[in-house]
Amino acid sequence: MILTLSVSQSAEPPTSDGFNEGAEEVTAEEEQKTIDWSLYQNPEEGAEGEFLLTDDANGIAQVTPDQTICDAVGDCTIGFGTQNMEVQNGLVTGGLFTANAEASLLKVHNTLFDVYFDMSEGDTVEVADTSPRGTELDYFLNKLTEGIKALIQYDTGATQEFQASSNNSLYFIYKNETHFAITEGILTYTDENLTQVLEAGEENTQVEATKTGIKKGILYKNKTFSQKADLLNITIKNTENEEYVICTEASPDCQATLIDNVLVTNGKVTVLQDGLPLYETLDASAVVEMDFNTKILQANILKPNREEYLLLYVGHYQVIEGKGKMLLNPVKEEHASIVNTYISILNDRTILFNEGTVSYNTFKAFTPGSAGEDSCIAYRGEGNGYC
Amino acid sequence: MATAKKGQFTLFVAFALVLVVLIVLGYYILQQKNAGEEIAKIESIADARQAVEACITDTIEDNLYALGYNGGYVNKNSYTFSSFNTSYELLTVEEMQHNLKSSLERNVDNCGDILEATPYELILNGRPAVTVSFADTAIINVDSLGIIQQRDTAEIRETVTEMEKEFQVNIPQIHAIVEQIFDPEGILIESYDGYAINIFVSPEYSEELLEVHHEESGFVFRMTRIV
Repeated sequence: MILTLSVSQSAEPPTSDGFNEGAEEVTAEEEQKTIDWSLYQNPEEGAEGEFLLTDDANGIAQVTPDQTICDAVGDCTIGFGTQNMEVQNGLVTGGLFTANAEASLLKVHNTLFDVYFDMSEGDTVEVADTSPRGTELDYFLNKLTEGIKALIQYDTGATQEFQASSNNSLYFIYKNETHFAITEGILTYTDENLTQVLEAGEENTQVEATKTGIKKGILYKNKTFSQKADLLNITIKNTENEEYVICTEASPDCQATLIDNVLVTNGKVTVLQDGLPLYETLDASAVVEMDFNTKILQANILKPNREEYLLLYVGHYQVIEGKGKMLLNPVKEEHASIVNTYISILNDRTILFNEGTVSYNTFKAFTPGSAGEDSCIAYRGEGNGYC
Repeated sequence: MATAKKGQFTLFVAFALVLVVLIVLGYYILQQKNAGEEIAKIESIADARQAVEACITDTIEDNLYALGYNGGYVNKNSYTFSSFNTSYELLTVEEMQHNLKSSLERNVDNCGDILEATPYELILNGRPAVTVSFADTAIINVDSLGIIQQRDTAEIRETVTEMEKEFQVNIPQIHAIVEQIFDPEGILIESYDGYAINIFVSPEYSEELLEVHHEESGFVFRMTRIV
């Protein structure tokens, strides 16, 4: 039998990012035999419908949802129907699967990872590493319907999960182990200290990730990247750019870097802390460095061409950095008090935030009910002076 | 036993009554003493004149500082004032001058009242003539209010001196600072030599209060804006 896994024509591999350079397509047409289930029937009494694959099992199989399939390492699945399940050395490696209401986790092995699919009734997932013409691809393609989660577990215990947000979601796992590409879904990396989430829309979104986390990713317009760790719980939203490259380790083409709790962003972007805006850059030439260790934010506008360049939120205040001036607005909703010092290079200002007080030289603004306001009122009660 | 308790209660009531009487008596004596001291200070026609002139000076200063505290108005008007007890609108410098002038014209002749318990009285010339000038300094002039004479003889009399007070308070500059800080898009984060700027916000985040403190004079200008 000729292996001809159905791969959608829309699932073209990304080619413009450099991730795919050097990839070589190799024709991989080979005859595949059909799995004879009678050879793998569990001999135990009462185990009808359960099949135990051994490491000599290779080929293509048809499976009905009532079959329990246990692979060569003892992991079992049930509740999936497929016409073309591929088996190599007793492990399930591909196919087009449809889940029923009793579906278990579906484990599909590739040469890099075991990928587990969490599916509900009616969900389908398609796993392949060859094109419709039988050409071997340099990635494993996973095509998922909405709601399916695909999970990889690293040997460190860290996990990478892709959740499909549409019926056309794609999850590419490149055969170099560190490159992924996702379409219409959310990629989440989790270990005991770190959670990272990258969101992808219709565009083929390329990601570099290792067992220690997402290292680089492209944010398309209105998409976000989030990172939660000890000192921060931030989300970066690409509000204006067609593409925005974020990195968590040094790389020359990054527009935003988040390394050692220091975030540097270039251009128009929104950064949220705990789900509320921390800052929003409105000018394409804005460069912002937010050091979460020292709580110092430094902003510069290299080629200002707007009236307003940056909005910063601290506690109950919004600071607007604008053309030749900086403005303050009280806001009822409390934002994170992450910043204690705001250095504006363009406007030559250093603004301090402490105990609900915003101060710049002899200028002070007090948050109602804050410790800063209390101390001011107490001080004035003694001397009727200024704070 | 019951008789003993009744006796204790009567003793307690008597003690409380004595205490109340003592407190009332003490307060009365203190009041009398203060009044006596006030009168004692005014022992001559010169004392009377000086007391009235000091009152005029105090009234001018009080009115000027009230003008700043109330955002350009000397007197509070509960219908137009904010939760911070100050004005919502920034008046022009000329309007503030006018408000201070009007207030002084209404109030300064009350300085004659301090002579009520003395042998002297203030005979007013008529409506007090007041001029107010707000420039680099605030200059306030109150023309002579009239004459002070002894009640029982018109032969002992002195004319109240025309009073001119100059304060190192630059109202036009403060006005400009307020205009700048209350930018239509927000509160301008700026510092000014010689001034301290304090911003307060109401607990409902519906109003913001600006205080401009002149460090040298202690003059404060306060104004509220609806957020």
